Parts: sequence; C-alpha cells; structure tokens
Amino acid sequence: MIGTLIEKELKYILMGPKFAVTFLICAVLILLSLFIGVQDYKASMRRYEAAVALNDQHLAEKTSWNHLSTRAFRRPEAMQVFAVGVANDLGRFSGVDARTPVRLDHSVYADDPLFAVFRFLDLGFIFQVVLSLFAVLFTYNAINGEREMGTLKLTLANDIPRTQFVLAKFAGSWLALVIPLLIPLLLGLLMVLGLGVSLAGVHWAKLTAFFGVSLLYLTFFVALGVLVSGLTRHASASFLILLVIWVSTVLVAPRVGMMLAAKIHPAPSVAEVDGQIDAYNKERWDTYMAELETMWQRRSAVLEGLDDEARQAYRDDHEWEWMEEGDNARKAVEADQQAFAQKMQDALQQQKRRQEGLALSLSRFSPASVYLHAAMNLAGTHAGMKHRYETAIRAYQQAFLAHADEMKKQSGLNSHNGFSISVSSDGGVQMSMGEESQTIDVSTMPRFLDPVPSFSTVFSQSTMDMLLLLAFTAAALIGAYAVFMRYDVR
Amino acid sequence: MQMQANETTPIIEADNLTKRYEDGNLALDHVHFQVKPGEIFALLGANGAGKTTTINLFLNFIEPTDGEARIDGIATHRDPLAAKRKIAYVSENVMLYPHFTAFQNIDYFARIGGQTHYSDQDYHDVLRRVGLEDEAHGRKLKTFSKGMRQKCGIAIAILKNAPAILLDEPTSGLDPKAGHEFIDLLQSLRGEGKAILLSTHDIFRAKTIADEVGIMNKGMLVMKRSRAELANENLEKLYIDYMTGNGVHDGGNAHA
Amino acid sequence: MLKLIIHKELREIIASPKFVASFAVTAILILLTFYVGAQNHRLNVSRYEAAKTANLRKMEGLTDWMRVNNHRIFLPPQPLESLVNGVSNDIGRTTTLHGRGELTAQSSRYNEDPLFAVFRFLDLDFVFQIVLSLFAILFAFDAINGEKERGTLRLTFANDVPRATYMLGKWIGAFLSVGVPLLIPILLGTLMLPLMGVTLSGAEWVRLALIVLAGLLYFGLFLTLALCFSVYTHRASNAFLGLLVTWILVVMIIPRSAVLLAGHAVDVPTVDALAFQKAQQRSQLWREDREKMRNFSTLGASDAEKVMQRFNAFMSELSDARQEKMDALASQLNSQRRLKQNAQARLALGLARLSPSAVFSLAASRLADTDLGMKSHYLDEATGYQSSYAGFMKEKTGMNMGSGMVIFTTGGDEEEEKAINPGELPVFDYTPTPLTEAINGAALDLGLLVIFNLLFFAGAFVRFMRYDVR
Repeated sequence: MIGTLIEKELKYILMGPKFAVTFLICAVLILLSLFIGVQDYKASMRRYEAAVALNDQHLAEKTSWNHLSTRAFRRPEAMQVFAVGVANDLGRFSGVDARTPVRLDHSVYADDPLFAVFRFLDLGFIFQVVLSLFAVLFTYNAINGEREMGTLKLTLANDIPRTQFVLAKFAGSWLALVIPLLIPLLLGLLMVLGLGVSLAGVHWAKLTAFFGVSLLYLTFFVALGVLVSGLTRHASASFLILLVIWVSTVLVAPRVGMMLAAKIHPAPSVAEVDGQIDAYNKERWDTYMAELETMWQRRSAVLEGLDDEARQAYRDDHEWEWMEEGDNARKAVEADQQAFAQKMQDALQQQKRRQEGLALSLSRFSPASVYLHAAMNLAGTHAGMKHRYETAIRAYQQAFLAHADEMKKQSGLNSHNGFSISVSSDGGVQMSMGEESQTIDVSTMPRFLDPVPSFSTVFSQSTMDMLLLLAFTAAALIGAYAVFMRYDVR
Repeated sequence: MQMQANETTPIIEADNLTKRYEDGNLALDHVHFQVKPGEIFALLGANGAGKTTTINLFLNFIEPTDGEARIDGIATHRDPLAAKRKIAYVSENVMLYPHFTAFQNIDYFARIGGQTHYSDQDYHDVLRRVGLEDEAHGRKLKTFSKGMRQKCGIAIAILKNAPAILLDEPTSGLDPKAGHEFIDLLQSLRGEGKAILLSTHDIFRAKTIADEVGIMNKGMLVMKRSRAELANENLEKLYIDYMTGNGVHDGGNAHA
Repeated sequence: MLKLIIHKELREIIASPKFVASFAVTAILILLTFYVGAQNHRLNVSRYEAAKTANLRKMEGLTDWMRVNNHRIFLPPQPLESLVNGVSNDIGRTTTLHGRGELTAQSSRYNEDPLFAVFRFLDLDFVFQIVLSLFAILFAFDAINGEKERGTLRLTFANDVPRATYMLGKWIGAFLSVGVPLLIPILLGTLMLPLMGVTLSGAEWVRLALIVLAGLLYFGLFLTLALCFSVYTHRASNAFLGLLVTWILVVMIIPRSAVLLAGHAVDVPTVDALAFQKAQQRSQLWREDREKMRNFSTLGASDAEKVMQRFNAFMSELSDARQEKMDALASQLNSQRRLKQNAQARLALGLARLSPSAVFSLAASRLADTDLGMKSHYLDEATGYQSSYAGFMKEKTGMNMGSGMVIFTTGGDEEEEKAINPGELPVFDYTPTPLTEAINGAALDLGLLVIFNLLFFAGAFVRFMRYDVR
C-alpha cells in the first residue's frame, strides 16, 4: 500500500508546474555554480603557479643565503570548486624569513575587491539557501493541502494507517526533490572533470561525504515542511511559518551567533599585536647594540697595547672567532624576536579560538550553520584553514632557515656579500665590499608542501556537525509523525 | 464483537452514539439507528445538526465519548482499519487531485481501497456508469465542474465495492438532471445489496429514495420514519416542525 | 473611490496574519542590524585606537628619529561601514610606511578573522536586498489574481469602478500598508545609533537617509514587480513561483555572472606579476649602485665623522635617484593595472545593473563609502600622508628616509640623549569622499531604482486594463 501512496506522490508532484520550474532553476543554478567554481579555481591556480614561479626566479637570482627571504604560497584546493569557504578571504601567501612572524596575507578579495562585491555562488550556498527553500516549497502543504483538497479524508476513509500516510508523504516529496537533483549534479561533476579539474581518490571521498551531508540537510527541511504542514489547518499558514523559519534559520541565525561571540570574547587586532611586537623588537635590538658595544670595547682593550704587526696577527687569528661571536649574537636576537612574536601570536590565536569556539557553539542552533560547518570542513575551506596553513608554514620556516644556515656555513667565511663599514680609532674608516659571487644554488632548498587534510581528518572534524544534522532531521521526522497522528483530518 | 453477516444483520449501526467535545459542546446525543444491506437511510437536518459528525464517527475521524459506531459488526473506534475496509465514502465537496485526470484519480483511490484488479476498461465503464462522457475521462480534475467531480466521487465509491456506503451531502450543488442521475445510481447500488447512509438536507430526494428517514436537530435524532410511515405524512411539514422544535420528539427510538 | 480602495487595502493587509508575522520578523531584523552595526563600530573603534596607541608606544624610548621604522597608519572605521559593509572587511586596513615608495594595505578583517567571512555580517544591504525583497513578494504576489480566485474581483467590478483607479489604489495601498510601517523600526534603529554612542556627522546622516531611501525604493520595486506578476498570471501560486524564480535570478545569478564575464573579458595583470617586475628593477638598480659604492673613495679620510657625513650624503643621492626610478616604474605599472581594473569593474558593474538587487547594493555601498573605490581612496589618502610624514622625518633627521645607513658609532662621547616624542608625528587625518561626490556616484543607481519602479508599475497597469476579471 505504501508503494501506491509514494507512487502517487511522485506522479502528482511531477505533473504540477512547481516541479518543472524548480527543477529547471536547480539545474541552472547547480551547473552555473560549478562552472563559476571551476573558473575561480583555475584563475586561482594560474595566479598561484605564476606567483610560485616568480618567487623561484627571485630566489634563483640571489647571491647570498644571508637574510634570505622567501614566500610560502597557498595552493588552491580542488574542493573549493564545490564549497569555496574562506579560500578567497584568506591570505594567499606568507613571507618566510628569520625575523617576521608567519602570517598569511593578501587574499584574493583584498587584491581584487571586485570579486568581493557580489560574493561567491558555490554549490554549498545553493544547497544551503536555494534548495532548502525549494524543499520547503514542496512540502509546506503536504498535510494541510490534502486536507483542503478533501483528499485526506478520502484517503483515510480507507484501510491506510496514518504512519504509512505520513511516511509516504515524506518519502514522495524527498524523492521528487532529490532524484531530479542528481541529474544536474552528475552533469555538473562531468563538467568539472571536463573543464580540466583533476580529482584524486581523496577528493572523491570528500565529495561523497559532502553530497551526503547536503542531502541530509535537505532531508531536514523536507521533514520540517511535513511537520509544520501537520501543525496547521491552512496551507497559507504553514507557508508563512515555514518562510519565517527559513529566513531565521538560514539567513539570520548564522550571522547573529558570530556577532554575539565577538562581543563576549573580544580579541585584539593584529595591528595592535604588531605594535607590541615592534616595541619588543626595538628593546631587544637596543640590548643587542649594547652587547656589540661591549664586545668591541673588549676587543679594543685587548688590541690596545700591541703594535701594528701584532695587531694584524691577532686579528687574523681571531677573525673566525669574532665572526662566530657576531653571528651568534645576531642569531640570538633573531631567535628572541621570533620567540616573542610567536608568543604574542599564540596568545592572540588562543583568544581568537575562544571567540571562534563560542561563535561556533552559538551558531549550531541553526541547521543551516551546522550544514555550513560540515560542508566547509569536508572541503577543507573552513576558517580552521588559516591555522592549519600558518602552522605548516611555520614548520617550513624552520626547515628553510635551517637549510639556509647550513648553506651559509658551507659557503664559507665570505657569506657577507653586502658591504661593511668599520670605523675605528686606529684604522680610520674602512669600507669593504663583499665579492660579487655567483647566484646561490636553490635546487636543494626544501619546498613548501600544502597541508592537505586527509579524508579521515576532515571527516572527524565534521562528525559533530553531521551528528547534529542527523539529530535535527530525526527530531523533525519524529515530530512530523507525532503531529500527524493527532491531526484532525476533517 | 463480530457477528455473522446475514440478511438481517445491520451493516451500518449507530448504537447510542454520543460525542461531547472538550469544550462541553454536545455534538451528538445518543443517536441510535441501523441500516441493513439493501437499505438506504437518509439523515436529514440543518447545518450543524450533527449529520457530518455522525459520519465522521463511522470513519473514525473522531472518537465517540459514549456508545459505538459499528460497520458490519466491527466497532469503528476499536478496529478502525478493519472497519474502513468495508466502507465506501463520498464526501461533501469532492475536490480530488486537480493535476490528475479523472482516470488517474479513480485508479489511485481504487488501489488505496485495496482493489487492484481493475483494468482500464473497467475504469472507463464505471466513469460512464456515473454519467461522465468519454472525453472527460482523460481531462484533469481542475477543469471539472462540481457535478462532474461529484460523479468521480461516486465512481470511487462504486469501485471500492464495499458493503457500506456513506455519503455526505452528495447532491448539494447538483443541477436537477445530475441529481436525478445520482438517485438512479443509488438505487442500482441498493439493488446490489449495499447498505447506504446518506446525509442531506434535500427533503425531496430523501423522500424519493430512502427506506428510512431520520431527522437530526442539535445532535439528537428527533424522528425516524420508514418509507411506509412516510407515505401517509407530509415530510416537509414534519421537517419544519422538528426544526422549529414543535415536533413530537420520540428520540428516534421507535424501531420499525 | 480611490481613497475607498486604498482604505480597504490598508485594513485588509494590516489585519492579516501575514502582515503581522512578516512585519514582526522584519522589524526585529532591522533593529538587530542597527544594534549589531553600532556594536561592531564601537568594537572597531576601540581596536583602531589600541592599534594606534601600540604604534606610538613602540617608538617611546628611542633617542634618534632615524631609528623610527615601521610607522603604521590605519584606515579609521566609519560608522556607516558597519551598516553597509561593502568591501570594508575585504580590503587591507593597515599600511606600513617607510617614507617613500608605493604603499600597500595589509590585513583585511576577513583575513584576520576568517570565521567572520564564513558567516558574513548582518548589514542593511543584506536585510534590504534579501529579506525585504522576499517579504515584498509575499505581500503582493496575489494582489490581483488572489482577488480573482476569491471571487472578490468580479464582485468589485460589478460596480462602477474604473480599472485605473483600482490599480492605482492597489499600488498605493500596498506601499502605504507595508512601506510606512517599515519606517518605524528604521527610525528607531537610527535613533539607536547615538544612544549607543555612535555619533554621525551631518553629512553621514544625509548619507544614511539616502541609503534608507534606496532601500525603500528597492522594496517598493519588488512590491511593484510582484503586483506585475499577479496581473500577468491568473493563479496566485503561479505568480509566486514566477516571482521566486525572478528573485533568484536577480539576487543571485545576474550579479555574480556579470563579474564572472567581466573577469574573463578583461585581463588584469596580477599583483604578483607587478611585484616581480618591480623587484627586478630594484635588483638591477642595486647592482648598478654597488658599482658606484665600490668606487667611493675613503682616501684622505682621517676624520671619521666627516667621512660618515660624506658617505651619508653620497648614499642619500644614490638612494634618491634609485627611488625616483622605482617610483616612476611603480606608478606606471600601477596606473596601467588600475586602468585595467577599472575597465573590468565598469564592465562587471554595468552588466550587473540588469539586476535591481545589484543596483541597490551599488547605491548603498557608494553612499556608505564602502564600494570598490574604497581601497584606492584609502591608498591615495595614505600616499598623501606619506609625503607629510617624509617631510617631517627629513626635518628631524636631515635626510630622506630609507636613503642612508643607520650608523651605530661605537666609542666616542656619550651625550645625554633625549628620547623622542612620538606625539610629534603628524597625524593621519583620513577624509572620506565628500558628500556631493558620493551622491553623484549613487545618483545613477538611485535613478535606476526609480525607473525600475515605474517600469514595473507601467507593465502591471497596462496589463490590468485588459485583465479578465471573471
């Protein structure tokens, strides 16, 4: 019997004008969003490759490992075609050197604000906003519509248990919504592949999970529609209620949660922290200068009583030692400055994380936010991307600096190829130019590897949200069932 | 308590049927009547008298506060699904599914009613029997007039082939010709041995076709007369008397 | 007659649960937006002040103006940018000054707090564009065909009612019954601002008023569009469906597609490509200068200080020449890029203007100074400041910034060195674009909003003259 019921649901929905229109719109939107996603991704990819190449060229022209700085670039991820998340809001690269703390900056939107004016239209957005609205449109009169048509009475005048009826309503609407979606989705996937985006195994796994979560999200709204239509006598009432719920849940709630969190747990801005870092750096530099002064005085004292020849001999003997001493002092400064900057960054990070944690919790009251979190986490384009990258870049920074040190040692004493000026009371002013040496060999330099999270990582990150979504959906389904059991069919 | 179905066992039985709502409103007050196979019982009354409430109790859309509604011996509030298997229902203001054709509508409801053996030809035959022209069979319901929709409703009831048929205000809004055709149909169904409960405020039709007529007023069955008894009385006058409260209320307890 | 119809419309709409529910939600949203905007602004201001303070504090204790480096300026938060975000959270707001050379902005708010980017902010642009348009649709989608379905249309026209009057009455009635009540939360919201400590200048009040006007025009436009649909269809459900499709097209598809198209059509060189070209030039110039430095003679040098002075002057010259060349190239490359960017933007926004949503958004952000021009305006102001900063530093140190070496003399007399007073530094006085300029910039879009309104009404009007009222 339930087969008959579901069959009728499907047939009936398919024959109405609502279906054709919504299917067409969905198809267009899905294909368009994927197309845009691919274009965005490819443009980002071109930008990335060009930037990396330029950086490499830049390094290749360098002649000394001293004070060498490079950049670590964020490689665009294929998943951002489907859920762009913060990929365009986050900085594209960070400077990597001995002094400055690692920090991503210069996002796509910052460099080209035109693309920020109207924002993105990715598949996640289509699901979150448009398809949920359509789900509501399909189901808002599931129960009360039939009542108004008189067919509810007619149907239940037969040997049909209410459970079967409400289940069939739910299943019919769900199938009528989901099956047509699969067509443009598949076509879209083919288009994505056809446009040259290569997807590896891990991508397919993530995509499957992403689609699964998206379907779950839609299921929630289908169940919600049936629930509310069973709570009201008139379809116009349930329509209004559902529209209000949709607006609050999908559009409003996510934003409000974030603002509340910012108010409750304020964090200082990066600019402020930078100022504090600069202040420390200045003080530390002063200390360093004082040390240098002491060092010079010590050496001068030793050379005091000697004649020219002895002085020269002494200098020659101790050249290497002095160089090392200077080097070590300088390294100590750099290390201290880096450590302090790191400490400040970490403290800032901690405060930000508290804020984020609160915002995330507050936002989880809305299934739309929950879906967003899950989708972005699976795609790897959630806000946590920043932390992930900066951690990886910091590790790279260590590797890079260690390598630079190594190369400096190997290239010998004349690693300073800038020029130096020394002014001393006996030697007068002396300037020496370092040698114009060859360009450095960067072939063995470590390369930055993007921290692409594995499937199990993203899956575990999204588990909480997926479970929440499941809970929401189950509650709506149970609610719909309970409500219909007591529905006055007259 | 299941009883042996035989000639004299009523198929539709209201046994002291009472419905009091939570707000105290007494919608049905110990209504008592029986409809045997091959009989038509017409319930007359003004709007709000309790006719539809009675029918809703038989369909288990609401539950009785006291008494029982029975279909072929099955108490509807105790085993609604079993009872419904034996009921064919024609509601007032039949809407059906506007995007489906007449054919699709009756096919669906036939299956819902458990009748899956019909062929396409059978459906066309039934639609013709109720007076729908062939070209209308494949047209969508939203193009139908009220009379045509009503005919579809009857077709559905016929297809169910159940021993009890409940009709709620089936002739309201029908033109005289359609109303006449409808009466003919009911008579042929009675000839097939169906027990028919008909609620209406169409006195003329009730008089024409009913084997027994009951008048309801304010939830009570204030009068019951068989056809034989009515032959000598003016039903219209009786009706008005009872409506204005001047009639002799015999509680509908006089059994034929 | 007209008054009668309007009166009935008013009563019918305001009494409906539809109105109560939608108005309640919208009012709450509007008030929330103003509240959140005010809070946000205060938060931004306090962060801004803290950053400025930290910037100055790090210079305390320095004894030499020459050691001042990494002087930073920040784009001050404007109250209206919290109400109409535009691109204010996407662009960098911090600029580090070195006294010369081109400036870049770092550290956008969304880059700093990507979680904000996930959810975006609740601003007037969003509330008007997305929420109010939906509610306008909700109210008017069955204005005519709903009456037809209910049978009241033929009842009305069984009387001596001119069609034009009826249509006009419907339109005005809808506007009054839905638009006017909206003014209440809007006014309350604007009053909230000074109460919460957000002061607006006179010019800013004017801008806000115009933004609200644009919002109401946009809302009215959707009302009229819905009216139009309800006349062109005979069933309310079809009208609603059509409107929904249009809404999706207008709000989501057209604007984004316009940008995409423009992105394809106009090729803008990337920031990195430019950076590379500049870096190449810099390396080249340095190489040339090294040769010159090699030839700097220290012969006859006995007085260390005199040598240093001569050396500094020499370096200064070199550096100035170098900087001049770099500035020339930079400005050439930058202006070329800007030209391309502007062409791209013009194409994108021109196409986008097919959508009333985009038109409204552009008008609002122009008035709030958070449109595309925000970034270049900020950088222009910053560059202007840089000259006064450079001038100040030259006065204090006797040389152009970035030209000499920082000399650390060891030994020698230690004078009692006085700490500098960072408070002497010129203050970055950011001036937003003048009001008249903003209004001129938004005039086109405001005009378009009016035109859309009239167009849709004309469409509805004309159709209704021949509408089948049965």
